[in-house]
Amino acid sequence: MSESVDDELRTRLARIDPAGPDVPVDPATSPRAADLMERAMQTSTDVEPDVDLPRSRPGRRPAWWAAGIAAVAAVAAAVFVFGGSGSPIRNGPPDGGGSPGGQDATTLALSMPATPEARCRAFDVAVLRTMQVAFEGTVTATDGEQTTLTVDRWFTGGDADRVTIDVPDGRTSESLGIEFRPGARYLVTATDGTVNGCGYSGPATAELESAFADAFPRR
Amino acid sequence: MDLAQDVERRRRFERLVTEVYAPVQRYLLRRTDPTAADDVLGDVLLVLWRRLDDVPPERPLPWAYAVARGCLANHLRGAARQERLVHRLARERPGQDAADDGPLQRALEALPEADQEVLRLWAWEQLPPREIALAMGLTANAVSLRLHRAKRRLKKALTSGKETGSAGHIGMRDGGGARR
Repeated sequence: MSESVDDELRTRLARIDPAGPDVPVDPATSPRAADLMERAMQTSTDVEPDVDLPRSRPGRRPAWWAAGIAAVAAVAAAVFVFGGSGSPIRNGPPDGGGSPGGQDATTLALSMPATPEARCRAFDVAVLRTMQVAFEGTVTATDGEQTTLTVDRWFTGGDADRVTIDVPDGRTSESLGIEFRPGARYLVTATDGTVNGCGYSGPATAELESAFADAFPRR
Repeated sequence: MDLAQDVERRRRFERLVTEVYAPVQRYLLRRTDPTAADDVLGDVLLVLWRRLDDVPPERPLPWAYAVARGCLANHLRGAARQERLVHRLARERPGQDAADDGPLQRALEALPEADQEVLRLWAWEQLPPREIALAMGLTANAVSLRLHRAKRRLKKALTSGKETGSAGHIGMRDGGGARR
């Protein structure tokens, strides 16, 4: 979409803004603002607000954060030890499901990272080439806690029929950079059992397909 | 906390409130009714006071929006009601020619809620993707992708509405860049 179309769209959306600049609001210099500020400042700062807040700045991470990282690290370690060598974990079919023909399917268990990538370097096929796990798959099921994909093609790091991707508690895959939609195809990479963001995993667009083909040429 | 620290903290809070007070009111008025906006504003200030040390000095406003988003969600207890309110408020904007903007309003409402929110933050709060990410608790990459997709979907909905001839004036206004 061109910038001019973007500008027009933004301008048109602004016209239906229910609280645009022409709608008066209480100024920060008002007695009410002073009253609200004073009331806030009378309260204790020791009480943790019961609100879902953005990530804290460094040094102020709550305890659950560390616990989440530890949990994911544990999962990642388990996958690395038991499944990361290219031999996927052999599981039975998931609850309520069944593999085609009634045979057991192999499943590789991965996790989303515990936190969003704070900073991404520019995408590089040379980095993509170094990923331990890379595959193309179709999402067969997804809920808040886990996404399951059937593998359409392995580029490297496994031969499982299916991959599950767990999402850390309190997070969504979308908040960690990838929105999984049932029926859609994705190209996914992982390192030490954790899915990589920063453009190294995502919907199977022609661009990403091309990058994967360059990084993992068919032998 | 000694007296000097206390005074310094209060000053920091007052500076923060001066900066975000009006924009946060608009944020709330865009998403709920004036009475609820008024109630939630006090909650937002309370959280900002308690979490003052966490407010990123370089980007306090999107952080304040994220706090407002959380406080509003608590207040409304349910996205469905919030969604209905946003739609109703947008339709009822004083002085707005509702019929003229009806197609855009309907096209916006037809998008998934997260797409709508990303578009609102982009067009109404005028935030760049990095700050939308902070306000929504997403990564900048996820926001860029979602924003791109939401714009494309909105444009497509407006264009297809024009093609099917529904609801009168449909498509981009003022020259219609979306009708290329």
